[in-house]
Amino acid sequence: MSKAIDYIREMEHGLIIAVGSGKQGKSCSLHSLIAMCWPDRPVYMLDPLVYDITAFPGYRRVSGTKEIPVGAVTVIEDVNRIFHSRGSSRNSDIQGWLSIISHKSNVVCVTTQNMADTDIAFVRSQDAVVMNKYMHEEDLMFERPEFKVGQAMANRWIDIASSRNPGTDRRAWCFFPRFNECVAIPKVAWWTYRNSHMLRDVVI
Amino acid sequence: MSIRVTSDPETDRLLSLRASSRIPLPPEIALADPRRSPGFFRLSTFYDAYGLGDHPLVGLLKKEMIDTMMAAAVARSEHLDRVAHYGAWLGNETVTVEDLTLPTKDDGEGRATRPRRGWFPKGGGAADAHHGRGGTRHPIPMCRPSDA
Repeated sequence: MSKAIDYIREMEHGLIIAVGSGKQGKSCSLHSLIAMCWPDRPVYMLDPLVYDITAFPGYRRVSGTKEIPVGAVTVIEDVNRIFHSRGSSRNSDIQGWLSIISHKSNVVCVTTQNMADTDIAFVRSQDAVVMNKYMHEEDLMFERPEFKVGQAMANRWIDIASSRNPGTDRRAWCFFPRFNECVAIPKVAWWTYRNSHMLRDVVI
Repeated sequence: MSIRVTSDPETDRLLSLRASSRIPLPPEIALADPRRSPGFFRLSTFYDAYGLGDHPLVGLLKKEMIDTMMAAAVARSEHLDRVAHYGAWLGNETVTVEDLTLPTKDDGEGRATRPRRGWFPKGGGAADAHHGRGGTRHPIPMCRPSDA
């Protein structure tokens, strides 16, 4: 078994940050990871937008952090839509919430296409595990310097792992820089096109 | 306006391999300050021409130059891309690859058949078990991504 998955399974609180270019399997791997590691924890999608989440069995949608109960796993898809990058410098709500997730035994799972688009408050206060998916070279040029090495390694190892394992979907591979591990996460059975395009009908 | 570029076949070969993202650059190229690398290659070519390229003292001199260049490069943020690339190269020996989509001897039908444990936050106060996924209380079957 993987060190990274074992560690995540034992997390009572903290953050999982799935980062990678669009359509590289961030959301699928993140929700599959949640199903694999915490099958009994309640899962809440935090999003002020209203959309149908029936494609996510057992999930609930909330629009504010106050509605998230103790012990829950919170998922924020495309985190910069909800918490703007550099937003914590103007609004301290995010820092206030993240500073107490350890008290409330919450795990916060976010997806983002680039750490430069993500408020740095997410990696400043709690145990944050970064899960890299493949990122295109052009996107990597604009990545935050602190995360460039991990992402460069992720790209290289996802290339290697998928060429060594041609039977495994390339988008299943995730790289965990903290554990130096490249792991293919099995896709949760209910994942469909509807899940990966959940915001298709949303008007922004 | 024309630009003249000085190179050699070995550098061209390495750069073309780098372009294909298959083979990492060696540290003398990946980390070298561009102003110092021509000196390094001139020195290397000079000793090779006299058949002294493999001499231990020459090896020591080259290592010293590479170490100096690496130290200078790491300290300079404008070299970060090359440092990142070197990081990928260093990772060669230590990264573990785990394919969890493959069935194991323990669970013939895949990982989803592993026994599942209940989860409670330390100190109690858990969310309503009938909210969210907690309400389903059913093992969630997994499948290989290629099955979709």
